[in-house]
Amino acid sequence: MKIEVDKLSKWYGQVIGVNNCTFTLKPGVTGFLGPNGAGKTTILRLLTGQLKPSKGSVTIEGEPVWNNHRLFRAIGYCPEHDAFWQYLTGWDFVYSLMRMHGYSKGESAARAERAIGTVDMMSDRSKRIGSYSKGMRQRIKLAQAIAHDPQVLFLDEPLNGMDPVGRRMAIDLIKQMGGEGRTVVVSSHILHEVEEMTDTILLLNHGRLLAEGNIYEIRRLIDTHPLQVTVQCEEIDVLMSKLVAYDDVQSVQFDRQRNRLTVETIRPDEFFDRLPDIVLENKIHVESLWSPDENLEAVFDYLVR
Amino acid sequence: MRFLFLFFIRNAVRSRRVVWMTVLGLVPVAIAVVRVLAANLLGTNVDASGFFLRLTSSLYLHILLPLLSALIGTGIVAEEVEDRTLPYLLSRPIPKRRIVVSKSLSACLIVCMIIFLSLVVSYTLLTAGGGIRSYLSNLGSLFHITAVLCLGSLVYVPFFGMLGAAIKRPVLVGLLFAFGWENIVANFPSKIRLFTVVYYLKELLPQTDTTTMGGGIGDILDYFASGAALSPVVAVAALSAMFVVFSGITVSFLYLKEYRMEQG
Repeated sequence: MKIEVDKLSKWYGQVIGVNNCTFTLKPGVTGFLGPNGAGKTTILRLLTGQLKPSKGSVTIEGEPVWNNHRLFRAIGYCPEHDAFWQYLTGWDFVYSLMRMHGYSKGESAARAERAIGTVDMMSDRSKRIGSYSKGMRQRIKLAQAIAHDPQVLFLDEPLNGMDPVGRRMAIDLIKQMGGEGRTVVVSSHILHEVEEMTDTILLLNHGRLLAEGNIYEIRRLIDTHPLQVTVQCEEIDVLMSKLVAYDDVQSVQFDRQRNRLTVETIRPDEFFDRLPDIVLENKIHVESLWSPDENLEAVFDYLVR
Repeated sequence: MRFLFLFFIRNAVRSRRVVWMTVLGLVPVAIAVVRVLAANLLGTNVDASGFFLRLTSSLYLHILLPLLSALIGTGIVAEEVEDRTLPYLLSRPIPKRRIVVSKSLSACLIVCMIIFLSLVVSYTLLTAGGGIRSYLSNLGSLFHITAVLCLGSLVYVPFFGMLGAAIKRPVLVGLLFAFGWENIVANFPSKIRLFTVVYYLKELLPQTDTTTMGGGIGDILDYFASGAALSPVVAVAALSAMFVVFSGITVSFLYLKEYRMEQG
């Protein structure tokens, strides 16, 4: 099914949530990538008719989504919120939502069972959702979104809180559904998550569509963008003397009070390959290591500049 | 529609809110117990039916019905927004009006059940001393009162549902309406009382001797108020019209207004 977004804007008073976005979504998996607050959830809510566009339009197969309940026969939606009717069991939850789709008792039960099985929740289906872990709640949310076999699937941060096994299952499921010719839209603020599911992304920041296309272009951009790495250790002088010898290190900053060294490298992969050897050879006791601009925010700032 | 109605009923009976509402519904029962005990200790006769009718007017009609309707009715839309479960309902192929009507009816049924349970226990306590004949003789009044209060819930619940769909703090505004507007304005001698729900409900209740009433703002103002009685047909028609208008406005809100779930 074809989803068309035309000059879509959404504002709340003075605040702009989505700013003049135009794009088309075709069958297959598309990732909405952007830092927190980029407008991913707002766009997904506009796409699922939870919000009304302030300007522009959202159509699925030529029909507007807002106040068009009939479209939801073909749409599955997994919201970002970790919210449920807490008194229901996982099975009741999926079954009840299938009944609301108009399926008979038997058909709803069969669909609920199939979907719950797909997300590996059969053994916990009779427990109350209130007693589920975050990962289990994510799985059951995913089950309700796929149980009616939708042609269009909107998944808002579906991997949040899932354990590695759950993530693998969800990623495989999303890829499989996309491969079957369904239009699957997944939002995430984590690049490698999206990278595992699809090549096609929409890059969003501050409500604007920054880029549309192949994820490898973005990855290349990230790889060539200087990365800052901060290391906290007692032996910062030793570490600095070793690091400055490499030509990928563009700058080094000290913070002696907190024993921190911030390095800017233009080849992060090489840097991270080399660092463990330096640490071991020189008996440096690293207390912590992090990258202040490792997240997408830095790349987006770079793109906007 | 039937499934949605049962779904909302099932969710409601398992919620803490309804448990507390049921406890609240037992307040008139406690009053009936005190009255019976006091009568036994003092050795006086209890005018069972008279006291029951006064209890109905002062407590059930003026306090319990609007209070329960406000606390449960305001949640029709607002509860789904607060609990952030509305997206699950709105992403189903069901018209929004069906969601509102099903949930309104389930809320009405909950209010009616709590009130009916409380009325039956109060009535039984008050009439038990008089034997089975006394119990059966006023059973008609019990069902009459229950029917009127249920009709009241059919108007109050959509009204409070409308508040819940429209504003952010519906319970507070709902209580102000229930105990401000409804309890005071309905007793004014002018035509303004036609704009209250309780006025029509009072016209439908079995008539009581207001001069002997023992309390409640409504009862005191009743004493000073006067006016021609309304025919039951007109009262029912007015209440039915209110039900349609309030339900219609609540449904419209869901079509016109968007609900932003707070990030959690």
